[in-house]
Amino acid sequence: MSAEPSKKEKVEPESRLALTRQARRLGLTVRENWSDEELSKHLGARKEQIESLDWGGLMDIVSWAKHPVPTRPDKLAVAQIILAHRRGHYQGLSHRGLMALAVLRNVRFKKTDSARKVISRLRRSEGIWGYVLRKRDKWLGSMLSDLLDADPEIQGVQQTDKSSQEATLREHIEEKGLIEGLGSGLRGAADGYIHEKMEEIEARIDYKLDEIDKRLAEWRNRELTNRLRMIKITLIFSVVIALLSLLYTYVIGYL
Amino acid sequence: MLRIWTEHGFDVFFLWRWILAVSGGVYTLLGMIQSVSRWLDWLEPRNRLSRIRRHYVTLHLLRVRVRDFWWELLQIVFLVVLLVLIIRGHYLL
Repeated sequence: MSAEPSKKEKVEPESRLALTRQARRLGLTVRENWSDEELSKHLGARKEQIESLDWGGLMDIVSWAKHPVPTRPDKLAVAQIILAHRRGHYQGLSHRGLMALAVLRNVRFKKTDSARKVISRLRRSEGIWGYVLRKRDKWLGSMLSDLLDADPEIQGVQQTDKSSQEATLREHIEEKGLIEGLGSGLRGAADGYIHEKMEEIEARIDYKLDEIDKRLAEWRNRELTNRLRMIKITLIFSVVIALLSLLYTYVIGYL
Repeated sequence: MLRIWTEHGFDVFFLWRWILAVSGGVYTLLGMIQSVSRWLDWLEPRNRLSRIRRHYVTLHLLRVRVRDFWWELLQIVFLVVLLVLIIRGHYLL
């Protein structure tokens, strides 16, 4: 992505609650003792920090997290999407993506740090509780995935999902927690099923249309053949009458 | 050319031939005009449905292949040539 957005939003006077919500969505830790001015100031600084991030790095995170690519280049909106996501492993994420993620998660690092070091800092920033929660979700995800994989019907649907490069149920639970992950997994399975059925219906409609077209072509050819036969019969009668007339003229000529 | 009267006098066969040619010709002409006007009316693009129909019929006509009817067409060409030759033969006698 070469085109980087240069939009700079102004902090408009909003209610304290709305500002707090917005700040939290942008990954800012809001302190209770902050005044409204301080909150606005910190929020403005955070927005500037996000706006200064590399757009390519943000897009790397979006594709790594398997999120749909946003239609408009709004860094703040993309940052909110990324911060709502809490994937625990960082395989497949580029170095610039890791740096952008570290900035969004308020993890301190040096620009000269290697990818491994940035990952280590990101993991450390989760804290013990975050680590425990991640492991719990991973374990739950694996268990439920194994449980559901035993069902051949669901397995079939999951295989369809895998073929379209969508996240598995285990990944959903790991990333979004049990309830939301299950919901996403089931929604994904339902989407896959509906998509498959829609394709089936479409194929059936195409087949029917082809059949109608073929029958119409057959009817057209039959109709044309009949018309040509009628012309032929008319011509045969005309030739017979013309021959009779010729014979008659010939006979009259000799009389 | 009206040749009812010959050197042998009034000829009924010649009259019948003339009446048959005129009535047959007029009937064919009127039938053809009527059929063409019906087709044109049916294919006139009045609304979206008739436009689709017009395009579909045109498409089907374009898909017609002469090789599917070559035998019938060959017979028709042969009969037309034969008829022209016979008609010309009348003037040679």
